[in-house]
Amino acid sequence: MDGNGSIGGFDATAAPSADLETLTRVVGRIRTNVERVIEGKPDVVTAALVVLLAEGHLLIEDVPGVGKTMLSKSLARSIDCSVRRIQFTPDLLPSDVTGVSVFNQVTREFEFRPGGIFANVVVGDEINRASPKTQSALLECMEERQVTVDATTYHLDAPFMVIATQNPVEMEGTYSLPEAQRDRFMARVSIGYPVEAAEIAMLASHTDAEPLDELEAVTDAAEIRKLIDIVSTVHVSPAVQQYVVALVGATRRSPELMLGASPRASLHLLRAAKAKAAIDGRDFVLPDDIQQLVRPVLEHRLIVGVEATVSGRGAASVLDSLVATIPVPDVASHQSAPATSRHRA
Amino acid sequence: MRFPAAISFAAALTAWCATFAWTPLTRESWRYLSSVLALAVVVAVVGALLRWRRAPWIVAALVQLVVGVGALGVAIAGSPVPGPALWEEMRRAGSDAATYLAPVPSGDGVGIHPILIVCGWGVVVLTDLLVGSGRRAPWAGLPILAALSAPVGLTDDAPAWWVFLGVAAGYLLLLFLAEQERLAGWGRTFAGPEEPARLSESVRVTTLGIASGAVALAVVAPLAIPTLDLEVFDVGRGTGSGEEIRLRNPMVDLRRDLSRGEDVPLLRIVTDDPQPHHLRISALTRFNGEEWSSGDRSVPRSNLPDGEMPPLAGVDSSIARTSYRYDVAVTDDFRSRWLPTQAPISGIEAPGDWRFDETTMDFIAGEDDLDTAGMRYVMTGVRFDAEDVRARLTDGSEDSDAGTPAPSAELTQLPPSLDPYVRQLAREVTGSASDDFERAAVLQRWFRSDGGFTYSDEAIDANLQIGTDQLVAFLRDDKEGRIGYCEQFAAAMAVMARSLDIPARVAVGFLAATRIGVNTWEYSAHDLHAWVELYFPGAGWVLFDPTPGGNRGRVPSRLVPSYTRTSTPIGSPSDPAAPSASPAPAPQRPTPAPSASPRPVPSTADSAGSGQDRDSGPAPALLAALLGSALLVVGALTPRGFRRRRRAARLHAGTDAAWEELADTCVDLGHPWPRERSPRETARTISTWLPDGSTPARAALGTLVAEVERARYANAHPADVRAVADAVTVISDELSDSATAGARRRAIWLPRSLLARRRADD
Repeated sequence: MDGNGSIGGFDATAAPSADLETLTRVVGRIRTNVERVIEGKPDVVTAALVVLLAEGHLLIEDVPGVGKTMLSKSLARSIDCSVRRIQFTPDLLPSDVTGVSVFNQVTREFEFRPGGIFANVVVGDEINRASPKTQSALLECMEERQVTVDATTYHLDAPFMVIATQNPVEMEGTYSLPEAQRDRFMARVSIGYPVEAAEIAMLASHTDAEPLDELEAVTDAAEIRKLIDIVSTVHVSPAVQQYVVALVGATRRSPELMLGASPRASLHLLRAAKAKAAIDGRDFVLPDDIQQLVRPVLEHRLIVGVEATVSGRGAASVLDSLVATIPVPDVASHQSAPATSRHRA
Repeated sequence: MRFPAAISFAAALTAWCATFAWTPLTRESWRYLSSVLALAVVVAVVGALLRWRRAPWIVAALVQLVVGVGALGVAIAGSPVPGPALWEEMRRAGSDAATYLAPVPSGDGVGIHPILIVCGWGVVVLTDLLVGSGRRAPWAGLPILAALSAPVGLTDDAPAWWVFLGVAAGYLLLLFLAEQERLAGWGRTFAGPEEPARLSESVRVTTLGIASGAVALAVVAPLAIPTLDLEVFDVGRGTGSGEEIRLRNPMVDLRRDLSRGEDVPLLRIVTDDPQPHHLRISALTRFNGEEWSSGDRSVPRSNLPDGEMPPLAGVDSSIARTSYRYDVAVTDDFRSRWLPTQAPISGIEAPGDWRFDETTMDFIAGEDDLDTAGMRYVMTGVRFDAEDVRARLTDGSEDSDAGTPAPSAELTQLPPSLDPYVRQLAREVTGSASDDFERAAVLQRWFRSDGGFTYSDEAIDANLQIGTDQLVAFLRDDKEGRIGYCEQFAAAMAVMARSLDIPARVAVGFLAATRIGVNTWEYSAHDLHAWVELYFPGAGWVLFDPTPGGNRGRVPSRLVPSYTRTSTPIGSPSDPAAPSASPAPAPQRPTPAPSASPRPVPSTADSAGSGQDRDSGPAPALLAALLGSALLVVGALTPRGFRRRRRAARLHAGTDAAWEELADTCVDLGHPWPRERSPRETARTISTWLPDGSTPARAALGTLVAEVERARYANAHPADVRAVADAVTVISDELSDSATAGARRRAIWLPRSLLARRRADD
């Protein structure tokens, strides 16, 4: 993804509203903060911000030592809000995540002791090292933003975002994340190795002091909640809705894919696109937003068929070819869209 | 290797189509056509195989020769081994070709089809070798052209237009296939999958342009050149132009020439006469009850056309006259034993033994094999001042200084068998007139307008007899009567004039010339005409033309000498109160009426409705040429104009329309516009077509993309139409400037978007 709000050199942003200006300013501050730690990865940072503003959860998948945890921590620290970190290990229990009711000897009552999930930003480290049972404990929390323990439901505060990191599935001692849980993550990004210059800069700055410690919060939870409200006002034209449905539908029909994207994926894609548009200072979604988010939002939900695997094509390249072939709705389809918009009204 | 086979078959079929031009040479053309088709298939198969094996052309030629000789043996003599049977067939066909005229009868033991088969095979093989092994598709036009034009020399008939069309289409297909193969052979495999498709599209469009242009030129060019006879796409004329116009017996030939459908130019005249008309070929003086004929002539050897002619007979010297010089060139199509001359004539210089008769002043060939074909000669004609003639004829004085006495009695002679009805009718009609001249004028007017006569070409019949009975029938005022053509009118008026004791003769010649240049005029076959000359002492032989004018008639009144017009009413015995002797010339004084002004082409009102294209000459050809040129121009301008109008309309019709306009501009310039991509993606593609330095265009592109995105995807955004239009203009100009000159020209004259749009809409 292109992180600086203009695509291919065409800065089509014109006079954003006051709300959008606020949004871009805050987002710019967070971005600057995070990039002090994660250097040379603007796309990954943007993806993280998009997921934050779209009220989704982020899955960061990569080999050890490229800064997965760094990213999640720096993002969490940039926001003045509650942050919890859960290190997922094979012996981690579901109650460690959700919390547990403990009998208080003094009051002689059970009282709820919240687990690691009770925070605005939850960093789940090496999530695929936990047992499937524990992983699924995350499910309800992530999707419904609530925790139910002993028939009591505890709501989680907004913003609520899970940033999970995982090692690639092939690594030792990992459990593959179940499809159902993968589907709950709005986006998955890989950080990748830094470019040479960025790595040198990292060596210079990270050897003496830990830059993560120096990070100051640049915003707070209340402001993020406001930003999320602003994102929800971004306009989505029928043509763009049509485009999303066409793309997601194509993954279901593609002979190269065993499992296509779910309707939840369409929803995530559109929400992410709205956030992306808002970050770019636009109050409407472009097909280009969709195109740029297709890979991070859809890739981890797909299961590639045998033939494509054999021929060395991953989900990413299948998605790329779908994006290249699915027509972008232009004037004609836009004009034939009133049916959809009526439906919405 | 898909194309070689297609090319081989296209070449063979085109060559076979060309042999259709030979159908006029033989009666049963299917005999050779079927054989040549079979041979063409053989040649094409062999040719495709040879190409597939990449045989050098000399090998290909040898193999084709060997296979061809075998196939010819089978086709002609029934045996693949060339033997005496084949030889015998060829020898017999050769002798038949020498014996018979085309079309040669055809049968099992007779006919020239063996020769045609061999020639057809030769054309096919030559075409195949040139196109296939030689890879010179344009050169294949030579054998094909030879096949097409061969019969023209033998039969004078051009090939039918559909043969030409078929061959032209085949030839264009050949060129197209060959060009495609050539371009495909340039190794563009490194390009993306779209590249070849685009290439062949551009080739297709160009080919289409060239092809339609060539065909349009082939159709229109002959029309634009008036001197060429239009033969290939001959519409509305007769078949062929080989027949000559022969004039021996003027009257009979006149009928024949008028009744033929075809209008051939016969004489070309350069003159200072503002409107040459009534060019006389011969004067007919004798009416024997059956027909008008030239009568006995005395043409002494001394009466040669070598300068001054004798003074005009019976013309008073008081009459002012104007002389016009006529420089006459006769075409080869006009073979007359009579020399066309103006009457009256004051001087002539013509080569050859032409002799004039002093009483009629017409010129007759003195030698048997002398005729007018291809002749050139010069003469001086005389035209009298109308007022002087009128004055001289109406003053009633009999004294005249004209030397020649009244003409012989033969000129008032009528056969005794003549129905008294004619005399009676003549008297009735001219009853109110005071003197002979008035009578003649009234008679003329009666024929032309008052008598209820109708001019009709349909009356022309080569076998028509104009004897007394037919004349009476013509003159009778009943259902069948009073319909006829010039000859009947002239004969009838001459007879009626004679019945009033006015010396009369019938003149045969040309009515009116058509202007084809500043001072150049042309008489053609349909101008042939007959009229009347009446003798009046003091004025000599005066021309009268009784053939009606007007919308349904033939002779416009401006061609009738003005002094022969009259206002004297048509009289009748029961109408003695008719205005008396005063002829009252004044109101009828022929002031040069508007219609008398010289015009290059006789007005359509005069000639309309007469069925035939008499005053044709070069006028229709010119018209057709103009029309053709106009069509060409319109055809060339249409895509451009259409495109420009569309551009103007779309630039200010909103953002989407302007975006479409930019798309079409790119397509016109040969850029592959990415359809169904988002505006930004498209803009990225466009920016690769812009030169590096064009910042304004890039800025405009940014503005435009923003507007398009807003228009399409944002919520209720008012479009800035002006900014959008400006942006599109800036980008289009920059794109156009950075395109090659060829691409620019194509974009202007052959905008591809007009085609591509239709495809996209489909």
